[in-house]
Amino acid sequence: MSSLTLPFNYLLWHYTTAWSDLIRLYTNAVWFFWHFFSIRILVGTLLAPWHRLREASSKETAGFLGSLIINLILRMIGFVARTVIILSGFLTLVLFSLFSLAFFALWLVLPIVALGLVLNGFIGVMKLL
Amino acid sequence: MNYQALKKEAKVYRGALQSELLFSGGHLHTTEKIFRVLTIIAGLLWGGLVLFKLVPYLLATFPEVSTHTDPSIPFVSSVFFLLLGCWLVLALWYGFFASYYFRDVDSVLPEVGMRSMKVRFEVARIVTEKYGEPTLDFFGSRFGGATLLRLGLSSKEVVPFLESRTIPSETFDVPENEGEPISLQGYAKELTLYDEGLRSFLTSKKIEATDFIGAAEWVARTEESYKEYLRWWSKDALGRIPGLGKDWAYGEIPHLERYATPLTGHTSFLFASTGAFGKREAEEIERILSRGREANVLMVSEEGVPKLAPLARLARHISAGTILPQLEHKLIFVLDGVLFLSAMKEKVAFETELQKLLRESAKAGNIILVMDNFEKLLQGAKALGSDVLALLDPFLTSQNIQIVALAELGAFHQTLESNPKIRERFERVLLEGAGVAGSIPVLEDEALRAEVTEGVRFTYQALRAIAESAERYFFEGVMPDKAIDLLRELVPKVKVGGTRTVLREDVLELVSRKTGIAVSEAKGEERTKLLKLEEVLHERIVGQDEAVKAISGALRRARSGISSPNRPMGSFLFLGPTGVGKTETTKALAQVFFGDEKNIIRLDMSEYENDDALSRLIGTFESGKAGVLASLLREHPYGVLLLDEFEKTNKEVHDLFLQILDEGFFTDVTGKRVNARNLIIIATSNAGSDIIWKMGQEGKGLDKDIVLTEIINRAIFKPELLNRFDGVVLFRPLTASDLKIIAKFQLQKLGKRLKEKGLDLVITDPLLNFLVSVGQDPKFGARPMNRAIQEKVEQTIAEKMLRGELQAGSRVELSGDDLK
Repeated sequence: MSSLTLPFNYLLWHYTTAWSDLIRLYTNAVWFFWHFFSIRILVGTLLAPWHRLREASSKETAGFLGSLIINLILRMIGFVARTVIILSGFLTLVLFSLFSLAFFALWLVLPIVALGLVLNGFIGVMKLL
Repeated sequence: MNYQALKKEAKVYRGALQSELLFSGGHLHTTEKIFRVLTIIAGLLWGGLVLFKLVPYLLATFPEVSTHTDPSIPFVSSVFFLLLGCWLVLALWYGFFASYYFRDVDSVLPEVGMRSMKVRFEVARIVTEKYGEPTLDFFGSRFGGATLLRLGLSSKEVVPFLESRTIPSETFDVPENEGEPISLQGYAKELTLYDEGLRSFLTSKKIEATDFIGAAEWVARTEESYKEYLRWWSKDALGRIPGLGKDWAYGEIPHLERYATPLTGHTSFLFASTGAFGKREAEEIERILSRGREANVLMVSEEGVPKLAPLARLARHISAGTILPQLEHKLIFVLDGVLFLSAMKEKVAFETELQKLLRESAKAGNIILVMDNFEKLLQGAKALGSDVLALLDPFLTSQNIQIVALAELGAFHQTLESNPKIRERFERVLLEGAGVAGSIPVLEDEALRAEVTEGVRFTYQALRAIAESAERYFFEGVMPDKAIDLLRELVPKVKVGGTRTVLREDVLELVSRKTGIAVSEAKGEERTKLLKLEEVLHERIVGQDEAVKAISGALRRARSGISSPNRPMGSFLFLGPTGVGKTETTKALAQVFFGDEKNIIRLDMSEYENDDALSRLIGTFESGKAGVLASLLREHPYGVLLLDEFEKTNKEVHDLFLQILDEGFFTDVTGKRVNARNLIIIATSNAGSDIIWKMGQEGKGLDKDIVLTEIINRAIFKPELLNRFDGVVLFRPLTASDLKIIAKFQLQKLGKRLKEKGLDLVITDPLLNFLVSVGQDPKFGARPMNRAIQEKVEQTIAEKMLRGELQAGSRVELSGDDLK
């Protein structure tokens, strides 16, 4: 094995194998956002009362109607909080996917960009020195 | 897989391997990071300058600065672009490297497009070295170098071997395990089989093949955890970040949070991340807890076993999401029974708080409640007059909460095991200590930590010695805890000595110092002493050639470390009449082996004749008092245990010693083990001394078989007990010439004492003959003569001194007439 073929092997990798790595990174991140925003659990428990709080309907408390209202409010709070998180999760996923798409597009020209920047910078510095 | 096939397989990593020809992965990563920081600095500078130019206010306030900004903007921007370009090149290069380098990581959570490899990166790196021969390539690679460091070998020692060796004709073929990539340790193992020269080289450096493989395994494991640390984008790493709103559907737990700690915040959570320790138990607990009802665990272990380790493993699985669905999103809380009790003063407060806490946890619906020190909670509550089990019962059968109770083995046997309610509601899981093999990975982690903070370096042999000595010589505590303690104690000791590398010898030295047992290899004076042990013992013991020979042999076996570690170091039954040297031999033994004849734990077994003998020795359940033998051995675990008049004690005690001699430990009344493996056990008895005496009278040699048969026939000792001893040694009656030598020894001792007073004792033949004649009593051996020396010789001299007949500097010469 010699280091002479490194640039060639690099380019080969950049346009072939690297794509599977990029896709893995993308899926890992999507998986992470999905779990971080607990989307599955929150959707599943969307209408559950907030922290399992429940008002019993007995005479000492608010009575049937009162407890019904309180329980409804508790469920509403849960619903709103969960919806906020779920929507932020989806928003993050969409933004991240857009960013990834842009990055994938950039990836195609990235070697040229990198070399261009080096060359450009180098010439600029040399001119001014 | 042969060498050519390995080379072919190594191509999977070609990008990383090719990169490493120019730049090691670590250096590449560091350089990339440096450029990243430089680029950011240049970018900020450029941005700042542009901002300065665009904001009129700044221009007006700092006019002298603004004169310099204009010309420097193009330069800074060019530098920025240059740095950005360089960083991009490096970042892409690192990406290229990483893409190949991380191919062999073992992730718990499956990731897209990750296949399992046939060889690990370390092996690929070795087989693509330039030498083209397995051994040379190994030593030429960085992983081989790291292995050598772990073995405490320098290149100065290895290079001459590599230069002078002949290349083996054997074929190099690493066996493949189904589903497991070929690892560095697998490669190292094959090397020791393939290269005989390497084997003898290692032997010459006192390195065993298992050490070589173990060191390679350590290097591989370090590399693996380094990779895990680098791969922050893996699902395993990302999955550890806690999510939002996971507990919104579960109840709130302010009360529980007040008294209990979440396991993830517990100190023991960091421990036991690696190795196999607690793995089986964690799976068992997972299985039990996933059941619908009565999903409660009672985990029992000896004191000192890290009980929370399996639960910490479980908690990791939960946070990574690799758990049975019933346990998803569960939180593990640890409630310390002792702390909880100490916060409660009276029954009512205790019961209300506990009930509140339990109700809240059950209502929350996602709690696994771990009750540490469960037995103490039960006992303490009992003292308050409260029945914890009755309080717990509705929750133990509930689906909404799972309870894991932790208890110590001793207490479990004493109080919990017999309780039918506990048997019904809890499933018992026994957590065992890690043992030597299981402790080594934990020790490796601990050693790495000490290396970073203390600047020392551990060799693999030292680690193995730590694990083995901890297991063998320290009976208090459990593996891997006691091994970790030993390791931590070792670090300052080594640093004080001025060295940085911890060697096997350092470990053994510390163990010797702590225990008094010579465990390191015998050297110099000690070695000669061991080889001439018979002579050394004969300096104190007269006659008794057979006894001295038997004991010397056993001692040498024990000292060289080839005797079984699971039995006492040595065990002997000394048979013979009184006063023939049995006790003196024991003392000499303690002196030679433990450096001090005071290292004798003496038990007069004639005091243990009655029916209560056994309970006095091992303790009684009723009184809760510890037994004499149990406490003696706990206080002095190292030394000679002398059991005088062993025949006088009862059968039960004989049976106890049957076990001690066989297994090297016994269990006391509280269920705790008492170690007897670091003892030399000597039982003395004058059973059958009449036969021995008769044989001596008849002038025949001693026939052991006849004596033993007679002892068995008289039902003094059972044959199986006699067989358990390493040696049954007969002490023959002393002859007149033996007595004369003893008399001389004793007079010499007296002479030494007199010398301090300035008197010079002359030992004459007539004096010796006189002493033998008055002191010869067949029944009592040398004892009457010792008394004669005391009563006659010492007394006469004392009287002479008082009368003023003896002054400092005078010679004392006694004749028979003086003594009469």
